[in-house]
Amino acid sequence: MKKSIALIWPGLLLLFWIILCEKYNFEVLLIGIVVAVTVYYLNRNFLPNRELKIHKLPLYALYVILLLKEIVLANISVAKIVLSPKINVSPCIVKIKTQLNSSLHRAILANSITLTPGTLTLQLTDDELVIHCLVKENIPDLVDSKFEKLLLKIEG
Amino acid sequence: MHGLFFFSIVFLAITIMICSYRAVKGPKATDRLIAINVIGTKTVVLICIISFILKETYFIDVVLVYALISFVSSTVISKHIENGGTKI
Amino acid sequence: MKTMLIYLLMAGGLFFFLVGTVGLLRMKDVMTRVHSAAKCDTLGALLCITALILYSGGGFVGLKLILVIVFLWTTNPTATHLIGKAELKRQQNADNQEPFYWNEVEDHGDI
Repeated sequence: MKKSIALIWPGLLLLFWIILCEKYNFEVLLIGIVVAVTVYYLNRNFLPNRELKIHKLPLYALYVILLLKEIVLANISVAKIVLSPKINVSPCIVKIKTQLNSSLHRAILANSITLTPGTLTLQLTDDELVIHCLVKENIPDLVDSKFEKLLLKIEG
Repeated sequence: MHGLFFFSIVFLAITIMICSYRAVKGPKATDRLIAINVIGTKTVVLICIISFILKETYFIDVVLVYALISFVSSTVISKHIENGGTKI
Repeated sequence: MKTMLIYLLMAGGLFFFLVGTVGLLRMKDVMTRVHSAAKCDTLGALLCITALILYSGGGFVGLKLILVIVFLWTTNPTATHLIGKAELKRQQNADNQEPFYWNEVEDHGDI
């Protein structure tokens, strides 16, 4: 198990190298393997070395689809607000506690909230998110967030 | 198809000019930083489209580096504002 | 069909860029400007680059453009978050400005 984890990062770096080279033949592969392993070896203390759970991957794919749908819907609502002849916004700041445990999932939640227009994460201390909302109608969605439900399912 | 691309780059250039109005006038330092950030994203898309007009794929490498540099500059300037910054 | 789709995606992307710019000019407050500007850019860039991927017709150029989208979508929210945090700290430090009003949300027990 430990060996397979160690090979993921060099593999990703090799894939990145091949995409940048725009072709694959023997010398590209050889240089790529050498460079990828060296870069991984020099940075091994900074890269997260957590267990990869293969059976969780479909849930992550579902998460990306949910994120895309939410982004499109929220973008249209913000565009409506901007293009309306009189801008009526009611900006406010809320503090929300999250139930997620791992720091990676907390960061994913904060970034998803920022990517969705109308809400903006200002601060993330231990389990408390400080969020700025464009209109007050966004608050119930934040408290009862779909992203957090799905991330809890991934965690649990 | 080239007509669409030419229209797009002209359109993006005009919106970049409108954004630079906010960057010049904006009352606070944060306003300027937002405008610069938006201009960076628009420039990324602009260079992508230009690479298809000129049929030079290596422009997309330029785009990758540009996106990272624009991110670093936003980070540094926002840290500077956070730590007091200059009175603007 | 493909041409039609490319035109549609590109028009949508340019529309969202225009909305972001108009919001940048029209909004009154710094925070609301962040909302309108940095957010409409995410979907605008996505739609424009998707149109370019369709035009390029796959291959390594398409993969590189997907990399551009991944970079933009990881760096853009981070930069937005940092700008918002800087603005929050600046407004807390400033003396002559009215403070933000806070809405405490308490009923979050059953998520």
